[in-house]
Amino acid sequence: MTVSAPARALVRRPGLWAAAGVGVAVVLLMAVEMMAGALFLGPERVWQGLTGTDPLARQLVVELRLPRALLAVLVGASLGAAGALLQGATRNPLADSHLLGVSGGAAVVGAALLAWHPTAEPPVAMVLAALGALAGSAPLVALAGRGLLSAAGMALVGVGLGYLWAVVALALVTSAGLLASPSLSFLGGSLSGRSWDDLRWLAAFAGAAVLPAAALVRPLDALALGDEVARSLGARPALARAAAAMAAALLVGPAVWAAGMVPLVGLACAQGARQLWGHDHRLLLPGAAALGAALVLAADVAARSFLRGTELPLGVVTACVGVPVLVAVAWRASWRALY
Amino acid sequence: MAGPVLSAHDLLLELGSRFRLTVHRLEVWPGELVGVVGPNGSGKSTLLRALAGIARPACGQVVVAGQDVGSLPHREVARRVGYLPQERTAWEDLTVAGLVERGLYPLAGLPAEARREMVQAALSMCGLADLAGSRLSRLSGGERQRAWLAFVLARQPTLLLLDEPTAHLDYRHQAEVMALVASLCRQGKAAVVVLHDLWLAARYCHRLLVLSAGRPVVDGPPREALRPELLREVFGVEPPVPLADQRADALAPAARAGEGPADGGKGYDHGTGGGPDEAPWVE
Repeated sequence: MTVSAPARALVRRPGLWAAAGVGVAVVLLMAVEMMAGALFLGPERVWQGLTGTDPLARQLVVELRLPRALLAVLVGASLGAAGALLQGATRNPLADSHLLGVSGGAAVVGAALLAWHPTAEPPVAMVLAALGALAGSAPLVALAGRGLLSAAGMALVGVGLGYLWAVVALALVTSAGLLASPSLSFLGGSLSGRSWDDLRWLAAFAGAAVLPAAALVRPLDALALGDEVARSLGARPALARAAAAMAAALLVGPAVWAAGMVPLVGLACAQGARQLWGHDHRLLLPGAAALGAALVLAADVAARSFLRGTELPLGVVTACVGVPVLVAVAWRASWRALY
Repeated sequence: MAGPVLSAHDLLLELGSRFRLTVHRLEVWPGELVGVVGPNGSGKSTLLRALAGIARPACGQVVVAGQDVGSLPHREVARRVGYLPQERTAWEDLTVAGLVERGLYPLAGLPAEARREMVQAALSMCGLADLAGSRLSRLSGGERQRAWLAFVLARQPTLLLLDEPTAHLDYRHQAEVMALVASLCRQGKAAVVVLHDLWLAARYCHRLLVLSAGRPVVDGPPREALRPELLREVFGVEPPVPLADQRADALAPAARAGEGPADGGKGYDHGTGGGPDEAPWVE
């Protein structure tokens, strides 16, 4: 009985059920995403659209709704996985691309492109956004590496930094006289108006981040035990932290360029994945990505259906999920600190 | 093993411009349990970090099992040296087995079956087999320290470097942890342990290295190292009880003749084991 104990600890059965549940949820939400809209399409017409037998349905499903659903999956998975990477790298349960300035840095680049060079092609724009994401988070990740900030302190500085980047982005779009819908949907988050081409590039960038993320699984597991313990195991904390920040930038930069600022997906999903699958990054990273896909899909469905005739910014909906998680985690952390 | 597990020569470590630690010569033999004592800031942890290959000395050499630590990759050092730092954290809902499994990090590429066996071996060595599935938050302080010891032991290092493994423990749990380390040494490991409690140091260690302001003042059996006049000089206070009577060297069997270094042999043979210090969970 004792022989199976570590095995039992590593693969927890409820985790399998949760994984299946999240998978089913993603598929169902994608179906809903393709049915819902100004013109409701039943499952049958969605199918006809996908197979091309109904021209109108084809136009709606293949040109608009399917790329949108896939965009939601990619953006959500990127933000979720980035959240888990950043939490591991900073050893902070409150870490999130939005709270560490990663999204903010990408948003500044996105806003600058919107203001000065709106015709930038996806690959160039995404590389720039990824660099912006890296630069935006560099101050905090460096501070985290030196152990100068507590978990709550880091979140606090991150909120300030996030404000700074958001204000810079706002100033950029305002100065270009762009207070209309493109800039608003950018700052509030939106999945509308993206082409298959954008989607392909986003997939390429997310795919490029898979390899470094996989290589970081074990170093991040070691890092969770403290820098000195990680060193005693032969891991290199500074290197792992820098690599994680780069992988997160590679995920978040293009996602922000494509969908704007979608806050707290990383925080909520990485925390959710910790609850469902534990702290082992081998399960945590894909788990957070899957939850992110489900969350952004659900948020987009909600954003499109709350108000008739118009859309809520996506960030409004994800914040509704993310903020309670943020408060709960902070609450529990402070509770623990009392003891 | 024919030679010392650990030997350090002419070590010089500099931390900023203010602090320097110099250790002319330090050897640890198989089966030996060496205590490092001294006031705060005397360089105990710095010494351990250097022996673990983490703090790179400005000059000098650390050799573990015949290999120069400075020239080995980090993971190779970690395979040989089980260093447990003072500063350590873990998710509170991690299981004991999950924590110990993470100690196998330096042994990347090991098949799952072998990993499981090594985790299991480390757990039973530390008397934690029944707690494998327990979350860390459920453990007592003593169990928690034993879990960290199992974490270090999982990769089966030849040398243990433990920085205050008894910190924050009550006396019974301190004794429990030290008895476990002593029994590991009887099974052939060598250990260097930083301790604050001189009584524990006297009771369990075969040899004590007393550090003061970045240099060793004594390296010898507890009887020699814990002389009242020396303690008065190093710590600046009166020693509380006559410590020299609690020594472990009186209990230890005679030094192995011919194998040790010229200054009298520091290898200990603990084949007989047993005694009052035997950990109750060791079969």
